[in-house]
Amino acid sequence: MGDNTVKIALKLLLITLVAGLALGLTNAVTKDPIQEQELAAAEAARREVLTADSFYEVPLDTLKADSSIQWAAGNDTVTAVYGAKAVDGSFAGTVVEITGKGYGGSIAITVGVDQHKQVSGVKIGTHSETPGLGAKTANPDFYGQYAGMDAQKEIAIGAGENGVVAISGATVSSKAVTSAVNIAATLAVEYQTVIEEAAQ
Amino acid sequence: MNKLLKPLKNGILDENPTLRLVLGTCPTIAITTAVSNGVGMGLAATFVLVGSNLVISLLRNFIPEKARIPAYVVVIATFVTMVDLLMKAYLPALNQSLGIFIPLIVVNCIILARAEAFASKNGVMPSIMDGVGMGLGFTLAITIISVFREVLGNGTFLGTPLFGDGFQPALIMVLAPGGFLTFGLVLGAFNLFSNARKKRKGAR
Repeated sequence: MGDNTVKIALKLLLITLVAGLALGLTNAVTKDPIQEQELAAAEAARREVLTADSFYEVPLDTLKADSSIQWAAGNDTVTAVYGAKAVDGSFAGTVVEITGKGYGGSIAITVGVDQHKQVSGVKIGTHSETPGLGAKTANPDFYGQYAGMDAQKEIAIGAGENGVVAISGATVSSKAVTSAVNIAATLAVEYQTVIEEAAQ
Repeated sequence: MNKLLKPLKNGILDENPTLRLVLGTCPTIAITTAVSNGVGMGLAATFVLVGSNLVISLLRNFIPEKARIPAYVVVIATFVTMVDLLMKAYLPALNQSLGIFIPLIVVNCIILARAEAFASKNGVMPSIMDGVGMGLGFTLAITIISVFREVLGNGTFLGTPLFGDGFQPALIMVLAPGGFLTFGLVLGAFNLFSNARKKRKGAR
């Protein structure tokens, strides 16, 4: 009986050992390609919100050094800031990656602001909003409204100038995205020179 | 009937994992809010099911009887994780549509149930066919449920609006209660259908 138990344990050990080895090997092989894919996906998201030739990351520390705007207003957190260059090397705008607080948790939002201080595009990334309600913020019908808005003025919910129509039944999600877009826009406008200079 | 085709019919009709065996109900309720989700989850699960059935069937004489469940769990989890990593690395387009479902499949009890009930007792080819049949049965069932839920709850089919602006979708259908309601009704309808088939066979 005791001999049998040892045998079962050894077999199980062998199975887990092989499984562990196989997983380690797969991880080692796929680690770099996965990272490349993720970088490419983030790059694609930036291209979607702002037309430019290339992007460069602006370290958040250089921006935070002389901070006059709120970095974590309410529940919004800026995760990355990118400057963009046009084909001729001139400054093309700013892309801000920001996390907003929606109804079901955080919403990843990418906001583009062009060199004329206009919102050039907004893209909703991963989120966990209610399907059929808050999740509609990820539809172009909703986030497309931000494109072309004046980044120097507060974007509000409601009809009128610089206003977006909220999704009915999903005011919290609509407000969360709008608040994040406002913070990103303010940041891009206020630090445009700093971001422009960071290119060198 | 052909020996290899029998598991196919078995998985889709006689022992449909969702509608006859009532397995994998968590993903069934959770992801059937849109038709694209239903098809995506179904296909991803089919792929994993075929792979895990294949591996379990190959190892069926090695895995000790008394410790088989932990062995299955290890094999399935390893297989799913490897598929997940490989897909992320080399098939980004596929990963974008199916990727979010792969980690969820680890907890899909259909996989474990087929390892225990079929793959551990049968050869490689029948096990693969069982995986295909069960996977298609699962895909069919969750697609049917998601058609009802998306059309009634969101007014769309595969993202295309079906009705005019005047249509007010019944939101409850895409939320959890609607999942239970639809699942229950489809389950009942399928039982009626199965009973009718049984009767017809008996009368013959």
